[in-house]
Amino acid sequence: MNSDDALPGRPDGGARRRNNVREYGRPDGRPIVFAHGFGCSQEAWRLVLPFFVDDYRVIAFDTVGAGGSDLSAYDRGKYDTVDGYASDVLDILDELELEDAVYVGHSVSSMVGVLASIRDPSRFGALVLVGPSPRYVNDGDYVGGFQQADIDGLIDALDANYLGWSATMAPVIMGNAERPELGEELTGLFCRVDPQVARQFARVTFLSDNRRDLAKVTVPTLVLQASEDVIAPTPVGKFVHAQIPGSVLRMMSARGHVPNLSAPDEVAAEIRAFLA
Amino acid sequence: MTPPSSEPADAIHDAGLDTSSYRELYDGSPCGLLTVNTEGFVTGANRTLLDWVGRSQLEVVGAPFIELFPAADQLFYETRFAPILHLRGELHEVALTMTTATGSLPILLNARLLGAEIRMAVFDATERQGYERTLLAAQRAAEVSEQRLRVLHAAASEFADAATESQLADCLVENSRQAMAATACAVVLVDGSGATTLVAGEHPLAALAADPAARNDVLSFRTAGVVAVDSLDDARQRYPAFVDELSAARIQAFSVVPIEGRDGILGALLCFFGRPRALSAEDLDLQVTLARGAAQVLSRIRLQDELMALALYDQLTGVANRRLLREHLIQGMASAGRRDHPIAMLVIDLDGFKTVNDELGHQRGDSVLRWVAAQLSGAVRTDDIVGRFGGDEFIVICHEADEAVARAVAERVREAIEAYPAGLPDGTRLTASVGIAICAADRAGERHEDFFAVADAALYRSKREGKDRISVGWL
Repeated sequence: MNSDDALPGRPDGGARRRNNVREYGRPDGRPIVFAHGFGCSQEAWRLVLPFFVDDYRVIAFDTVGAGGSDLSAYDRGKYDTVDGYASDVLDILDELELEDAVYVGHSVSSMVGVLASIRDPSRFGALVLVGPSPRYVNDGDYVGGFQQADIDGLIDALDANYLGWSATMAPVIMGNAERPELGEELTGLFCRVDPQVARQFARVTFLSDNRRDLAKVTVPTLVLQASEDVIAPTPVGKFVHAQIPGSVLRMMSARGHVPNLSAPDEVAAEIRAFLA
Repeated sequence: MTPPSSEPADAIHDAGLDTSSYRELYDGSPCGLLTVNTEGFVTGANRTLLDWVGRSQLEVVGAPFIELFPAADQLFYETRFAPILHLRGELHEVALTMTTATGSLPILLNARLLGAEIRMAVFDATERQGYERTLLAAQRAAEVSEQRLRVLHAAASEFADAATESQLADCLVENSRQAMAATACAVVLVDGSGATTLVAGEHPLAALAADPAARNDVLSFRTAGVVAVDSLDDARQRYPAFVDELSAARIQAFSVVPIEGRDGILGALLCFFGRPRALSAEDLDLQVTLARGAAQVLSRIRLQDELMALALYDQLTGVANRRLLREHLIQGMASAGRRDHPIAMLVIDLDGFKTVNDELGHQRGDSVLRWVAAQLSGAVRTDDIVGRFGGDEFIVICHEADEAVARAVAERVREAIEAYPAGLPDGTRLTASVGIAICAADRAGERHEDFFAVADAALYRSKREGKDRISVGWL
């Protein structure tokens, strides 16, 4: 699947370009929006989208700083909170005039969807949270799985990798960044992320605390929990399920933090069964 | 241990190796070799790798691959590299730290996805990490100071362009928001009367500050110094009364620095953060520096405003002076001609003022003049201009006013001055003689001096005919 499948766009209100919004599937189908997590771009959903294009209006996008998004729209103040990212989701829903939308968020984007749905529940028909965690750092009795020092270590690891990476890849990446409109294949970039943005996004993702927001969700919600997910361990998934009124928790046999890539068929089947 | 077997057996014979030397090559290789299945479990590890991690084959094979790493690297590998491996099928030179029996080992990892198996080569990167750490630290320091400089440079030039306090405050808010990566910023300033007001930006306590008595304290968080609150728990300890408002505004941390002028505190710059934030000394220093830069420009703007006021307003009464009156008159006549409507001018002279001055002294006289100026300003229409021409002579310019309107204004003026409270010398009454000049639209091209002469002549008639009255003349 590539950008040629994209539908002809409505007049541009800014979000489409800013978030590199791509549309597939049936224009008259129920809208389903896929949001990627920290560390990747909308490519993270590449293997799942084909399961929905026959009967859904399928929408995928990049957070600002990732993939083919408009880096010039990056605002350090706005994107210092999960709520800033939630504003972009609401912009997209508004601009595409989506009603009764299914929002599927992976990792940090599951919390983005939670906050967006609280701010404007009328746009959302359902939430699907894949590997959600409202807080990664342990706090008293709450076990998020990590210590503050681990997050600092993550930033070190991130910098260490971008150091080598930027030295050899910088010209190529800068070339792409200047010509993002060339409609490059979704698969050609491999989770392109701007290093400066990644550093701040890592802090926003792993140092935020959205536990209190969960109880305010009013939209039907599915929590998908993979086994052996060290990033969002099973007790955290159960916590999310317990906090969101009326939510459904499904334990998957898929392992690890990226079931959308490692077991796309199982993820798609769970979502379809929930929506059926 | 079974070496990887997908290579054709022919290749081994071609290299002239038998199985045992192939095994030795695998086990004794100068890099760690690992195979992992797509479920994430280790299916094979060579001796080099086992030696590095200080664990037996039994402990490593069959265990999750990710457990070879400390938590920070698990986070990074799973969120950043696992997706890329799935999408691209390989990874190159991923820098990670591996947990060993005695501590940790910096490594570089290459990986390739082949069917249901991931093959990995692990290189000891101790040497590389040594200089890389130094390089990283230097790079971060350079980035931070470069970014600081860029921010301060841009802010300084934008501050310099600000012509008014509110422009400057807007500019300070926007620059601080970007520089501090703040969800919101606010500038509060103390005005001449000592009252604190929110001049620019968003302030989560604005609603609490509705009570004027509490406003000064609330808007600046009851501080005149530098304050950094890193979480809501911290806020609960130090500012319990504000926690609910902060929480409702989704603010979890904030910092306040004073805006200091030469003669004291001019206000405060506040930054609000939507998640817990422990600001470093450098971060706070940046906020202080931004506030300091703005304070200098603010002092300059206030001085300019003061000079402007000196040049255009009467020092005793605060109403327009002769120079400003002249400008209003010229512009008013031009506009009357252009827009085809009449304009009127009132010249007001106080009757009995000389007695007040002579018998009660100049200080009392000055206070009467200030009272008269205030009465005039209250008696005229909103857009009319009140000024002091000199001595006890005042002028009112009435735009879009014909004779009836001008007479009505003049009558209100006369009555307002008549209302002077008790305390004048016996037998003295404070009244006003007024001269009105009307300039019809088709005469608006005449000289403003001539217009004034008509008003002055009318005033002379009022004086001559017994004072405390109104006379009208036409240009």
